[in-house]
Amino acid sequence: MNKSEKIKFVFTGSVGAGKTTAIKAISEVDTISTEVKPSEEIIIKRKRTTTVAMDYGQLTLDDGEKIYLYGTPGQRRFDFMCPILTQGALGLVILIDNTHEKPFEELDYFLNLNSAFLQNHAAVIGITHFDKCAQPTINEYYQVLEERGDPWPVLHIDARNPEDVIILLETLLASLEYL
Amino acid sequence: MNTLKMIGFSDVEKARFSAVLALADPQLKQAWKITESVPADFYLIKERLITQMDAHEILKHLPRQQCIFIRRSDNALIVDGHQFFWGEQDVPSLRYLVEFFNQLSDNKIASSSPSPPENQPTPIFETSHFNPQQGFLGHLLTPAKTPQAFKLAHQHADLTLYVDAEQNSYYTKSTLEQLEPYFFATDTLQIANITAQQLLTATAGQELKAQPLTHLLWFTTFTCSQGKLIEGHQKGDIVQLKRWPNLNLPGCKRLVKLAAYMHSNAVDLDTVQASTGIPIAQIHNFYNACKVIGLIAHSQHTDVHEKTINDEQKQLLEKIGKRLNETLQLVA
Repeated sequence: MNKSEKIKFVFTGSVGAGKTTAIKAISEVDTISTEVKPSEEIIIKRKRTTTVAMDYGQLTLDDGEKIYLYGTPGQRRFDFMCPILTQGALGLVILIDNTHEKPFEELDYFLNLNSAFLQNHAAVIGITHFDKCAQPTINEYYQVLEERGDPWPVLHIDARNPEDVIILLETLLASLEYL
Repeated sequence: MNTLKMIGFSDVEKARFSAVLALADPQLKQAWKITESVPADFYLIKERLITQMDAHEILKHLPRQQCIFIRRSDNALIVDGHQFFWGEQDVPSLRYLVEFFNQLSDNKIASSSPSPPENQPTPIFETSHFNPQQGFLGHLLTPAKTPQAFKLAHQHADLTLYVDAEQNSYYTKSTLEQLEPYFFATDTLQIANITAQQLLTATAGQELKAQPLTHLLWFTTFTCSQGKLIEGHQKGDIVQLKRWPNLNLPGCKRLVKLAAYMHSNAVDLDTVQASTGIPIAQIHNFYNACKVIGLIAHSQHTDVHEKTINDEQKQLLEKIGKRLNETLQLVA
């Protein structure tokens, strides 16, 4: 954590997992989103629009310093944005939609995509839409992480609920301090 | 019958108090009923409203002799009216509640209130260590030796809880917080073994979904420990968290830092306290809860994960944490 760098957290995960929603829930400014109609077949079924470049929101600390909140695009063809956005970030929030056909594959995908970043930084996993689908369970996600050798904490959250998003970030801070 | 209106309490707090009042019922000289209507015989008023009594449109008209003010500590504001010592815990002491409401019924309370009970919260287990094999938790843990399904009910309250020990699941209409008062009901719980078919019929009929028994075990242990270390743990034992507990459980979200530290380090609990600054009572509650559901590993050797985070970085994390907490207060 270099003082001259921006303080930023990056939200990543598949389309419809709630990245844009989570940032909007806590940003103190109107979030900037760059959206288009999705092109990938599988995405069209899930959402009418999707983020193409990134989402942006912010919070301000007591001393005036800003915390920047970035959301990566969900479509695979924009994956090249991820290492750009995570550069200099404090930590990563990976959101997984529990109603997805293959949530464990999604988790694997985003952990692998960001593996270089996660060598020296921390992540937290947020499982969304748990109210619509309670399987897989949190325990099952931990089993997947243990098999991978990843120590990251997992919580289920409602991305629309600011309290849930803040607890996710607080968990990330604790991971940054101790993991 | 005396009616009691609760003012300034959340739905969860009302449900908890109502449950404790139900537990107290056999010992009360008169029946008490929580009401939403006015007028009521008495008004139970949350401590944060005390300073608004003279200005609040509704509160200022309430007769003081019918007001019962909640006190959380011995240093609380002194005010005219009855004062009920709730203490710092989530539910009031059953013993104190019985004494207080019986005195109200007898009209013996005039200008003074009963002294706060000693040793708050009233421990349910009169030992220096926490024994998980007693009470409500004991009922949940016992079938681990002979897996079967059973039903827990309460003599005087509307509790129905089904446990499928074989599938490690439980079924109930209540949230974990709503079950809390029953954790301390040692004598009035009724337990009945049921067959798998009876369980299926009951849970299907009431549309109850299976929930992981580990959630109930964790929260029950966390609540009942009351700061005492679990039996069998020796001072100086080196321990580590094998896996994160379910951070969504009540009480757990606020101890994420403790979970992160114990996940990364194999140390004794005094070192955990010194390193994190978290009160030892909370560490004991958390440790006991994780131990009961098998999340604790014991080690012969200390293993401290030397995270390279300097003072400047630590201060930055604290500033960010403070800002997030401010946002949390605003949205809560």
